[in-house]
Order: sequence, then C-alpha cells, then structure tokens
Amino acid sequence: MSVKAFEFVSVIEALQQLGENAQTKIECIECCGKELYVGTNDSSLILYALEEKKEGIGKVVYKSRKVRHKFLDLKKPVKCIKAASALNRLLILCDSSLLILNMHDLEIIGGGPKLRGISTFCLNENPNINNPFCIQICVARKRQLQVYNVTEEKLIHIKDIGVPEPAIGVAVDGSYICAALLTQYTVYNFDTNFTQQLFTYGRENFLPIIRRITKEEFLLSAPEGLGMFVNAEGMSNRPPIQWSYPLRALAYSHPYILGLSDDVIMVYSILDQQQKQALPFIGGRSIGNFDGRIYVTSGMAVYSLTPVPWEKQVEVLLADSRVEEALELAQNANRVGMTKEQFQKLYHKIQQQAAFIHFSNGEFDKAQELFVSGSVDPREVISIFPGLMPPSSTFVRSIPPLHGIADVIQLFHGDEGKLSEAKQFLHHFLEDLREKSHQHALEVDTALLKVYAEINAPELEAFIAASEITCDVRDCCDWLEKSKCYHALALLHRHACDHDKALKVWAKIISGEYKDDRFHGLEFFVECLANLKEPEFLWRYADFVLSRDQEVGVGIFTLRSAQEVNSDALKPDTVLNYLHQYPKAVVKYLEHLVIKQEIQAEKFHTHLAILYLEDILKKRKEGNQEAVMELRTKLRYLLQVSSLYRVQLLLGKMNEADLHQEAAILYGKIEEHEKALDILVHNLKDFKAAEMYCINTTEGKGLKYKHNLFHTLLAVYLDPKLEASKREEYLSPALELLNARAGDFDAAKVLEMIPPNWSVSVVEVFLRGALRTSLHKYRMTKVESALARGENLQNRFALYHLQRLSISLHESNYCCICKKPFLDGSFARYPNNVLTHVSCARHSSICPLTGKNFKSLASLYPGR
Amino acid sequence: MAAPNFQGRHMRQPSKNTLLKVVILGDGGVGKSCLMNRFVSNHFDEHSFHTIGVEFLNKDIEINGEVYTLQIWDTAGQERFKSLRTPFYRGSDICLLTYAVDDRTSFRNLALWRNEFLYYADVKEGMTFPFLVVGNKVDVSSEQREVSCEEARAWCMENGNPPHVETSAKDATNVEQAFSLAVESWAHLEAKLDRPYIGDTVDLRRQQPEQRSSCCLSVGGNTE
Ligand SMILES: Nc1nc2c(ncn2[C@@H]2O[C@H](COP(=O)(O)OP(=O)(O)OP(=O)(O)O)[C@@H](O)[C@H]2O)c(=O)[nH]1
Ligand SMILES: [Mg+2]
Repeated sequence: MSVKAFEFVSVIEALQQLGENAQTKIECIECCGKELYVGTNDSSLILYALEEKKEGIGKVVYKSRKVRHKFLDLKKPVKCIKAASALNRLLILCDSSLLILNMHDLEIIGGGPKLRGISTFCLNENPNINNPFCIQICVARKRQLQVYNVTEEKLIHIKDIGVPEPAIGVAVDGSYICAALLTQYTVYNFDTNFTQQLFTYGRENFLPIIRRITKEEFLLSAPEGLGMFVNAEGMSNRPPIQWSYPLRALAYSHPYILGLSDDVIMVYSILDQQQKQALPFIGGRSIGNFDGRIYVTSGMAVYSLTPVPWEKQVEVLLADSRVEEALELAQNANRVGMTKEQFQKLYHKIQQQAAFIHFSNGEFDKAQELFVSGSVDPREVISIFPGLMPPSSTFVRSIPPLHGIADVIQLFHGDEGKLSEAKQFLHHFLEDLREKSHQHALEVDTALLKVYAEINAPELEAFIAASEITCDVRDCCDWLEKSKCYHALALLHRHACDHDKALKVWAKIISGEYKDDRFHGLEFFVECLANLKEPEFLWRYADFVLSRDQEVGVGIFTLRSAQEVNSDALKPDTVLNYLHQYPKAVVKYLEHLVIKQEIQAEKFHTHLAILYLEDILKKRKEGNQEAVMELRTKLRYLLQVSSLYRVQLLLGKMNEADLHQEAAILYGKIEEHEKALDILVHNLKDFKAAEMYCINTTEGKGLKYKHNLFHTLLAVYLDPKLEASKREEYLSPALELLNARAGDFDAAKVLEMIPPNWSVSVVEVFLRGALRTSLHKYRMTKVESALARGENLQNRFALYHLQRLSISLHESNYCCICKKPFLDGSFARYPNNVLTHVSCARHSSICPLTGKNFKSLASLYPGR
Repeated sequence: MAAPNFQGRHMRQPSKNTLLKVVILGDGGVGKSCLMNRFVSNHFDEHSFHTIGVEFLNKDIEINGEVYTLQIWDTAGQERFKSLRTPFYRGSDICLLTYAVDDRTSFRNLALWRNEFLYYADVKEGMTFPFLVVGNKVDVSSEQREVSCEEARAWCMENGNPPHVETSAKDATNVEQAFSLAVESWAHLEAKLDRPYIGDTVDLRRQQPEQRSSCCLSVGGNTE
C-alpha cells in the first residue's frame, strides 16, 4: 500500500490568518478556475483568488488572497456552493434555501431565496440539454425530487418526482437521479419515470454519500464499511471498496477514489479496489474534485491534493517490485500532454524494467513476454550473461539503467538450477527474436551460438550450416573450441570461408585426436573436399582419405560437379595415374567416368571391362560365387550400354574365361548375331534370353532388320545340320517363338523355312497371327493415304485463296508502317492485304497493322 | 438436434470467448469463498474469513472445445450483507446455490436464497434459470453429515430440477466438475433458446443450389 499517488499542498493554511474571527469554520468550498469560494458556518461566503506556482518538477505552491466577503445574514451554515461559470452565477444552499448569486460581486440575484424548504441539491454533470447557457439542477424537498433548468435569469421547472421518504443526498447523470433516501438508495429516471431500488441501509449512524463515477455509474457509501459501485440499472459491475475508516466524504480522480475519514484520507484504485495510499489528515470535513483539482478542507484550512505524476508512481511501484500494479497504472494513466509515440516509448521502458524485475525473481516466462512486448534491445538482456557479448560489439547499457543486475551469476548467487533456467530462457528468447527481426544480429547470433554450444543443443550445427548467421567468428571459434564442439567449430570455419582450418579440425576428428559424436564421418569430409573449388585441398587430403577407405575416399573425385572435372589438375588421366595404388578406387572412378559421366574415350571403357574381368577371375579362383555373379552383372551392364571398348580384344578374353553370356553380348555388338544366338541357344540353352536378345537388338530398327534377326534365330533352332535329338529339343522353343511373335516374322519367308513335314495345325496360331498383322498393315496404309490426300486438297485450296486476289500498286498507295509511298515497285503483302515496304515488314507472319498471326494457314479461315 | 444448435451458437459469436457471470450464494460459512479459490487458484484456506461484501475473480474454462470466461462473484452469506448482495444478482448468467452437508440450516435456507435471487436478478417469469445446487464439505465424517444426497436431490426435483453436485473445497472433490456442470447446464438452456434459429439454417441450405447455378454461368461466360 505504498503508492504515493497524492501529495498535500496547503492552499489556505488558516482562515484566521486571512482575517476571520476565531469561531468561523469552513463548511464547504467551490472552486472555479482561479476563484475559490468558501462557505462558513456563520453564514458567510468568502471569495479568494488563487495563484498557482510550479516549483521544481511536479511541485506546486499556492498563494491565496482574499477578494470579497459576503455575509448572507441567515445565521445558518452555508451547506453547499456550486458555480455555473457560463451563467456567471453561484448556487448556494443555506438555511434550507436556494440562493443565486453573481459570481463576481456576490450580489444575491432577486434579493432573496429562489426556492425554500430544500434539504439538498446537486448539478447534473451530464445533462441532456443543448443550451450552453443553461444548467440543470435537482433539488430535494420533503417527499419530492424536482428538476430545474437554470439560466442567467430564471429557474425553469422541468419535473417533479414523488419519493417515499425524504431525500438526504442526490446526484444526477443524464436522466438518472440517484437519491439517498432515509433508508435506501434509489435511481429515478425522470424521462421515463423508471424507478430502480438499489439497496437499503439502516438509518442509524449511517451517512449516505453518492459520487458519480462514469456515465450512469455511481459510487455509494454502504453499510458495513463498504463502497458500492452501482449503475443506473441497479447492477454492480465492480467489487465493492472496503473502507479502512468510517467515511465522511468522497471524491474521484481517475484512477483513484479518495475517501475522507476523520483522521485519514484513504486512496483506493478503481482498477483493483485496493487501498494504495493513506494520508493522515485530522479533522477533514469535505473533499472534492474541482475540474481535475482535488481540494480537501478541515474546519480551518484548505489543502490541495496534487497527484504525483503517474510516471513517478510507476517508478516507486517498480522500485518495490510491484510489477503488475505498475503496469496496470501505466496502462490506465492519464496521457495528457503526450503523443501516442511518446507514451508508447515510455510504456515500453516500463515494460522492460518490469521484465528485468520478473527476471530477477526467476519468473522467466513473464519476463520474456514483457521483453518482447516492450521491444527490449536484446543486447540489454544478453549483456547480463557473462561472456556472451562479442568483444567486437559496441553496445553499452542504457542510461539510466533498466535494472540493477550486474550479471546472472551474481544475481542468482551461483545457484545452478536458476542459472540453467535463465540460460533456457535466453535460448528461447533469442530464437524467437531471430524469427522476427535481424536487428543486432551480431550480438544475437553470437550469443545464441554460444548458448547452443554451452547447453550442447542439437540445433547448433544446423544453425551454423544454414549460413545466415552474422556472429563474431573469432570469438565464437574460441568459445566452440573451449566447449569441445569441434564439428561445429569446423563448420563455423567453413562458414567464414577458412577451409584450411575447417579441414584441419575435421581431419583431427577423423584421426581421433579430437572427439565429437556430432561429426558425420569420413563421407562428410570427402563431400566437403569434393565441394571445394580449389583442388589444392583435395590433393592435400587425398592420401588421407583414400588410405582410410578407398571406395568412400574416391568420392573426392567422383562427387565433384561435372564442369570442374575438366580443370587441368583433375584430368581423368592425372587422377587415374594417381589412383594407381588404390585399385578399388580405380574401379569406382572408372565406373564414374564411363557410366555416370558417359565420357566417350575407348581406353576407359576397355580398362574398366578388363578390370571387371580380372576381378571375376580372381573371385572365381577364391570360389566366391556371389561376388562373381555380382561382378558379371556389372560387366554385362557395361558391355551392353557402352559400345566404345575394343570388342575383339575382349572377345578373346571372354572366350578364354568361358564367359558365354558376355561373349554373346560382344558378338551382338559387332552384328555377328548368328554367333551370339548360337551361344545363347546351344551353349547356354537360354531360349528366353535368345528371344530377348532379338527384341533388344531390334528395338528402334526397321522392319527388315527385325525380320532378319528373328529369321536368324528361327534358323538356329531349325538348323538341318543338327542331329535329330537336338532338333526335337528345339522344336518347342521354335514354335513358341513363332506363335508368340508372329508379327515379327515375314510369313512367306517362314513358310519357306519350316520343314515341309510340319502339319498346318502346328503353325496355325502363327499363320493366323501373321495374316491378321498383314491385313491390319494393309488397311492402315490405305487410311493414311486417304488422309494425306485430303490434307493435300485443303492446302491447295488455301493456296488458291491466297493467290486469288490481285492487287495493283498506285502512286497514292503508301506503306502502312512508315507512311511513305512505294518508290521502286517492290512491296510486301500480308494475307489480309496490308501492304508495306519490304524493309518495313519485320515479321513475315505477323501483320504489323492488326497484329494478326498468319503462321498457320488455317488461321486465315477462322470459320473452320 | 445437437448439431444445428451448436451451429446456432457459432453464428452468434464466432470464435470469441463467451463471458459468463456466475454468482455463488449460500449461508455464511458454507464454503463459497473456498470453492471459488479452489477453482480459480487451486488452493484452500483452513481459516478463511467471512467475506465482506463481494469478491470477484475471473477464470477461463474449456468445455466441448469452446472457451468460456467465468466472471465469478463470491457473495457474503452473512445476514448483515443481505441488502448489499442484490446489486450483484442482476445480469448474471449462472447461479450456484450452496449449502454445507454438515449444516442442515444452510440446506433449509436454499429456498430463501433461490427466491431472493429470482426476485433481484430480474429473471423473467416462467423462464428456467441455470441454477446449480452445490453441497459442500463432503469430506466431513458421516457422523457430522446432516444432509443426505438423496434428500438434496429430492429438493431439487421439487424446485425446478437443477443439477446437484456434492463438493469439497478442502480436498478438491468435484470443484472443477461443479463449474463445468453449471456452464453445461447454461449452454443447454441457451441452446433451447436458440431453437428458433434452426429455421435460418434451413434457409441457408435452400440458397446453396442457387449460388451454384450462378457460379456455373459465370464460368461459362469466361471460357467463351
Ligand atoms: N471441511 C471442510 N471445510 C471447508 C470446506 N470449504 C470451506 N471450509 C471451511 O469453512 C469455513 C468457511 O469457508 P468460507 O469459504 O469462508 O465460507 P463462505 O461461504 O465464503 O462464508 P461467507 O463469506 O461468510 O459467506 C472455513 O473455515 C473453511 O476452512 C470444505 O470443503 N470442507
Ligand atoms: Mg466468503
């Protein structure tokens, strides 16, 4: 409860000093601009002129001078004074009479009371009248409330409302009169005559007080020491205030409620209904808000309660670590004299300070939220973590400081749990920040990298490798090395284009000098080397990688992008020469050259085939059938896709090694199909392979070639030189072939070839298929011929159409483009009869005038 | 039935939290403040003071995928605050009528509380209001119990049949459930009020084919 929301400033220290006699007591006051009216217990009205002087920051000093004294001669206290400055009038309640006075000379208008028998009256603070020279009042008589409009001249009676009990107090807002009767508060709408009872109270020792708060909402003193907020509908939308002392009078100055008791002025916030301040003040009689100024009176003196600027209140709250209250106060603060931007800036500063307070209390979530909404300079946050700021940063903490934290270690007294929570906080805070903006990237990235390294976060490598970081490289490298994040260190070197250092670090990890499980192994290193433009590094580490794993290591050559391979230092011959000592690598490299890069050089193709063959022989000797199969598959693939190797040389070697299948492929390559098929049929007895051979070899070739090859195969099957048993054996594959692929044979030729002793039924399927195929071909050819003839006719017609019209060129004709006449008789004509110079006709198919495209003849006849 | 009602509510308040004003009534000392504090901040005060006037807390609660903000008004049960309670009744959406199972008088007074509420809350005549009858302090031993569950249910049956639940703010039994139940019962009554809106739903459906045909036309026009 230690907000200092208001301060006392004396306005009139003692009436007596200003010349009143000892019995005179202040009963009520009114203030209007610089005029202060004091009503006394002895029926006097005194006018003082106030002088307000600013002294220092936010300090005000008052000087008062007595201007006029009016003795009303009613022998009763002046109960209430209200000023109507627009009318130049004062309304005064004294001895149950309403008097109207001139504001300046204090003369009574009309010489006497305007109304008599009045218990209380009030001004409508929010009247529904348009005339600025008219005010509205409500007066309470015995069992009646009356509404009057008051002008300079007269009182105009508006409405009477009967009440069940005499009214002690009234307040009016719009059409609503809130009245304190003897035992209850009630709201009357004098427009609609609607009545709403609010609540009742016991009549003894209870002082009803009504204060308008906002539109149609009143604060009412209530029994049991409460203050109830009630609106015109009789609803309470805020919890009540609990007065600490019995209430005498009430004032409202947003966001504070001021309650006057005998000894203390209690200050409550309307935002949370809690007491914020207590100002000792003995003998208080009245308190009021006069156009934003709060005055409180005792019998003798008048004081002003000047609000402490909200900025100052917030400062005090923050110094007290009362963050929520501080923020709430700032949010609801009176922003007069401040642009939106200025307030925003100030509010952000408060949020930042608040965030550091939460931070100090270990409330990291709350801190983060406020750091973000307060747009804190992230460096302020980073700088409280020792070691995270890069030395190259020029940052200095803001002055005045946002917080009193030296660093987190001191703040949390080295408490490990708290420190790691704080790190966790920083981690999330920086990550969020990076997503949103790139301000202060140097500090943010450096700090984030260090945090990642320190908590060994899995994001570290990706963070560096994404290569969008702007950190202080030297500082970070030191940090990474210290944290033993070697792979990350190498990545960072690479990010900084220091490949030499990067490779050295990785080499150390590979050779076991450094340990870092995050490193992806030799493959990764090889890939890096392959990706480097300068072959210098590649050669430097070539032995290093190849001696560790030939097949992986050769990647330094094979994984390079194609265009670089042709650089001098990496010519295939040079590389092969070098790889000599690594046979496995040679094979891999040749495969890369021949199959992947499709380099058309015979020596590589032959070399690879021979290497395969050597390997096959070796593996065969070792009895490793599986490896032999695998290698033969590779070899066959090579023989099939390439046609650059030296066939004869290889043929000899294949035959020597009894590699029939491979030999067949080689025969095929040199068009010795009979030999190839012979091998497949006789040696391997693989009839399916023989058929596939025919299909593969004839793919994309002409019909004749196809017929020939299939006939060759048929001939192999039906060779009359074969002994009888073999002939039997080949009968069924021959028939199968004929029947299955009837379309690939020339039927006439086949009939010649098949042995005369075969019955028709044996070849029936073939014959039927052959017939159908040939009939189909015949018909298709006819259709094609007819279509071609039709197209020809159409084109002839189009041509006729183009040539049909003649044009004559006159002297008056001019070119559509340059608008000049034709001089030499040559011209260009577009199909739509647009004429231009030949040199002006830039597109032969697009009309320069209409833009029409004559590319296709058909476009000439849009109707079709 | 449920689906169109649901839709009806969505049409009224798309994606916005529904704010519900909840008042807790009942004799002094039955544990109203403790119920509210258990529900909002999940703590229990053995030596809770009598409430002066009214206290007030907010809490969000999610039910069937919808978020409601409950504005809970905890009133003072003592007789001396009688007149000061009533301005808080107006405009409320839900009312919790509380008694303590070890206090027969507090149970007997339920009818008075209900009538006081209906009178001051301006509940329109003939309207069912979402009450929830809460028997608090079920943690007490069976010897101390003075009101049985059956008896309470019977009373409910005769008084508009509001849902009934027995709670303990002390050991947190059924507290969350009580507030959920109250909101559900509100939603149920609200849905009934929404029933006329079902007509609108049908209207929408009738419009759909028209829209589609006009859409086709415009597409045809574009391709021409
Ligand atoms: N055993 C038990 N005691 C409870 C329970 N809930 C509340 N109490 C006790 O009952 C007493 C009164 O609780 P409150 O919550 O202050 O009662 P209230 O209804 O708010 O009373 P008023 O504010 O005067 O209207 C306190 O001493 C609590 O400790 C409960 O569930 N079980
Ligand atoms: Mg309570």
